[in-house]
Amino acid sequence: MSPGNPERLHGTLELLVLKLLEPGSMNGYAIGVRIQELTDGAVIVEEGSLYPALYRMQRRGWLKAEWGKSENNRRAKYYRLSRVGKRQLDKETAEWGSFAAAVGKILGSG
Amino acid sequence: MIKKLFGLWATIRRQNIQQDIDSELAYHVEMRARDLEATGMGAAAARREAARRFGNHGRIRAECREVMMVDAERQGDGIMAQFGQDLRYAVRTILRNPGFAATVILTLGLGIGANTAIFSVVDGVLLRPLPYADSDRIVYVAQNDRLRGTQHEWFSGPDFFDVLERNVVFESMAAWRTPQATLTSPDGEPQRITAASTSHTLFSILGVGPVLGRVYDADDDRPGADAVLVLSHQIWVSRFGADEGVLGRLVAIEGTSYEVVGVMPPSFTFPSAGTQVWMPLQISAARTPPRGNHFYRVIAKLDVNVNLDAANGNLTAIAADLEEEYADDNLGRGMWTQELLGAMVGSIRPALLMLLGAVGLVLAIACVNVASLLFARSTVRQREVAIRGALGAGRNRLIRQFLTESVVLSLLGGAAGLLVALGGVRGLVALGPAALPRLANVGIDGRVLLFAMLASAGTGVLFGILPALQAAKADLQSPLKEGGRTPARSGGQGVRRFLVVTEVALAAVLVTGAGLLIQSFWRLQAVDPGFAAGNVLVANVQLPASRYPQAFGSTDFTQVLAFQRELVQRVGGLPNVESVALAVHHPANPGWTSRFIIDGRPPVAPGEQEEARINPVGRDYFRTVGIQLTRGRGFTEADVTDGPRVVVINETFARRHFSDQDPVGQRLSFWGQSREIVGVVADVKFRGPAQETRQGWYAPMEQIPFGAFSVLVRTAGEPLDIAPLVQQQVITIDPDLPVFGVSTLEQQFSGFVAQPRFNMLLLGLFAGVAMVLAAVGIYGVISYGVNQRTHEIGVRISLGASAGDVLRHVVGQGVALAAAGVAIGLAGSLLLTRALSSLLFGVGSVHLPTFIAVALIVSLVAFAASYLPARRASNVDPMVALRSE
Repeated sequence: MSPGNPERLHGTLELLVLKLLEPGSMNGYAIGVRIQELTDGAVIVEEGSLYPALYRMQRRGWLKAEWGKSENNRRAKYYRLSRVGKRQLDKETAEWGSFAAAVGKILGSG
Repeated sequence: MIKKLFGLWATIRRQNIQQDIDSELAYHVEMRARDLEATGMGAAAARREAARRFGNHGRIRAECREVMMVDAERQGDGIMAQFGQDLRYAVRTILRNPGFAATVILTLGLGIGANTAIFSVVDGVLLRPLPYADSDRIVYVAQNDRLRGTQHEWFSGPDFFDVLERNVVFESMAAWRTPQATLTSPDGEPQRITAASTSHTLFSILGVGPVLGRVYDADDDRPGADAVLVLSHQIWVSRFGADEGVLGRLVAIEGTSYEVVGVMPPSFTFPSAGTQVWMPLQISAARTPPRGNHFYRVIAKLDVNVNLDAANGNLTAIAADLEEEYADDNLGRGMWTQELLGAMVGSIRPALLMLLGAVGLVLAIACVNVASLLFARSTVRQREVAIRGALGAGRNRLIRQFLTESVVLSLLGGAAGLLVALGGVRGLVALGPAALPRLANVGIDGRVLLFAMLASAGTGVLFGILPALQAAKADLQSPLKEGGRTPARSGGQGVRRFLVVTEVALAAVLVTGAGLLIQSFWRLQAVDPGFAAGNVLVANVQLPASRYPQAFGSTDFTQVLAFQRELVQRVGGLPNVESVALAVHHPANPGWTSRFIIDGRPPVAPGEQEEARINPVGRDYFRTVGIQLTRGRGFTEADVTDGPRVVVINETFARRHFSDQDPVGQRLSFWGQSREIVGVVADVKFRGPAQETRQGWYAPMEQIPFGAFSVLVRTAGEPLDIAPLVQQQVITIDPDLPVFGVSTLEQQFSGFVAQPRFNMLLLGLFAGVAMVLAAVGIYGVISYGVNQRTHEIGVRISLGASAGDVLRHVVGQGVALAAAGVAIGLAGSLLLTRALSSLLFGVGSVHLPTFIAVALIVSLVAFAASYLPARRASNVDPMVALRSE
């Protein structure tokens, strides 16, 4: 995935999810709330649109999902990073860094 | 069983996935509502707000489901597993949209069905080899006449034996003729039968033997040998009860006794489908009618390793020798040969190939239509494609998936097509002109099924490949990001416009062809036949020579004349009969021709002698069939056997030979007798409306008696009503005589146009189907365009465009598409309709009025097809339209 790829924005959501799950597992609602807090609602407009992304990432093998009990004793689905997901996170973090650096260079010099 | 279990498992799995998704999404909304309530919002308001924030629940749910389902199918690997997945996915996609699937299947069913039906006819009639051993070596041998410009002349006996002796190309040869025959076997009623007198070699050439007894051999075929015959399977069953004891029995035909020596298998129908008995021809080089009489048709079997060219070369050389040796009879006569199958079906081939081409165009239009539908859908399905692509489905895999879907659709279309074809074939066989050879061969069988399957699969690939390529190259990301809105891509709509122009062009070609055939048929119908065909009954009678002496040279026709006089008198006395007359040939029977001499003119060179059609007729003939007398008189009571010899000529004859003098009072001679011309009558189209009238004359039947003749009865009401009464009169006079070929003069004459009518009806039908398909195509594109542009139209209306402006604008688009299609189609017609020229009558293949009519009709259809969506567009509420974005 190279800088400037139109998938970038879409990839951003995925990168955020990977980053959030790095420390441990979370359920979908919590992930959504956290992303909205962190980005001021810039990435997720419709809250529901998070779920197709979660499913895709799960199917790519980046996430593992299992049903568990939430803090209020409700059944909820919890997501955590797989080993593939961890590698993906490292890779994307590196790419993001170089992308951001490139953009920063252009904007900084302009 | 395993399949069922698999299906059950898949269903359960699907339900589990769905439940998982539902509870996860529900959990999210609930949690959000709880959090909102915690901020002090009322419970109901919190739920509403949570749902709003969540977004389009149904779409998200479907999207999640899609991701999981596609994934569920990725478990297998290998081509077969993938194919299985593609297939299941295709079936699901089709089931999800039954309206679309039904449209496609119906469209394809029509196209494939019509093609299958026509192919079954082409296959049965043209393609399938004849059911004879070494059928590729069996040829038909004919003569031609340079002087008269005719190509299909029969052989004379002496010519046949000369070729038999001199040729170096044929393994063997056989001659045959089809005599009139009435079977009066020891018991039962007299029965009119179809007989063939043939050389004994016929059976060995065709390689067919009897199922019972034997066929006749060289001994039976010698002049003067005992009379024997072979029965067809059909008459053996129907008349002789399939009795094996029939061998050795005597049956009477035309008063002669024949011994039955064999029975042929049911499949043996040479020379025609209805042939019921075969008997030896019994001619030899020494004993055959003279060289001027062309009574025989000839088939032969080529020697191994001899081809048609060599045979034709040999025949040409022999014919040239015979021309020199027998200039009186053979001047101008050539000989030639062709494959038997070609000789049998040659006249029908252009029409059948034209129909096959036309029906192929219909299928092409159906394909274009379906391709256009798929295009429209592939824009809608961009999201699905994008998801599948994002999940790692490669471009090839996507194309395969789309093609699988098209082929499944087209195979379903093919199945529907088979139903259409089953009905179609039945209709074709019923509708087919009686003269269509080998019609019994036509049916749906393995070959036809194979054709239908190939046509279906090919069709699926054909209409599926473009939309598949288009869909697979689609941008995989943007549809996902744009939150579900799928803007019209001008590219897709452009291709659809192109497709519509194509199908309109194809339809215009078909409509032009149909228009030309309709014109031809209309002109054929409008030809004045020269007689009044309405309300005339035709029935045929043949008096057997054994009881009614009538041989050439005999002067004793007493019995024949007595019978004829009594019959006319009796039929004339029946109720509703206006007039009755006998004739050797009724007015729609081409009959035969004979040479003649006009008395007092210098003799003409041999080979340049002309022939004219001859028709001995009874006294009231001209009045009964409505032929106008233009000069002199018709026949009267005075024209009896021993009265002065008289003749009436037709106008063509008069124009040709008496252009500068009054023919009445002149004399002409034929058959050794000189006759005075007493009258001239109008020309009759006795060879059919499409043919030039040839010169001809009529002589009184009392002076040239014939035992075989037609009874013509003009009635006050429906002529067929009186047929049983006429039959009764014949039987009253002679209980052993059958009446055959009962019909009306109208039916007889319309027989000439059966083939053109068949062509016209079918091509007209195809053109109609093509127009409907094209209209659906136009409607689809315009209507889709209106949907996509609702916003734009709203803007136009809010900026002051009136409903009328919008209507004109949208209809204009449809008509513009049609106009482009028509222009291309008419240009194509100029090239393609040339293939029709042999099927046309009275119109050239380039016929401006037809072209103009086609342009108008197609434009009108295009107008109608765009009007509905245009109405919808003009009714757009600008506020709703603008808000919809």
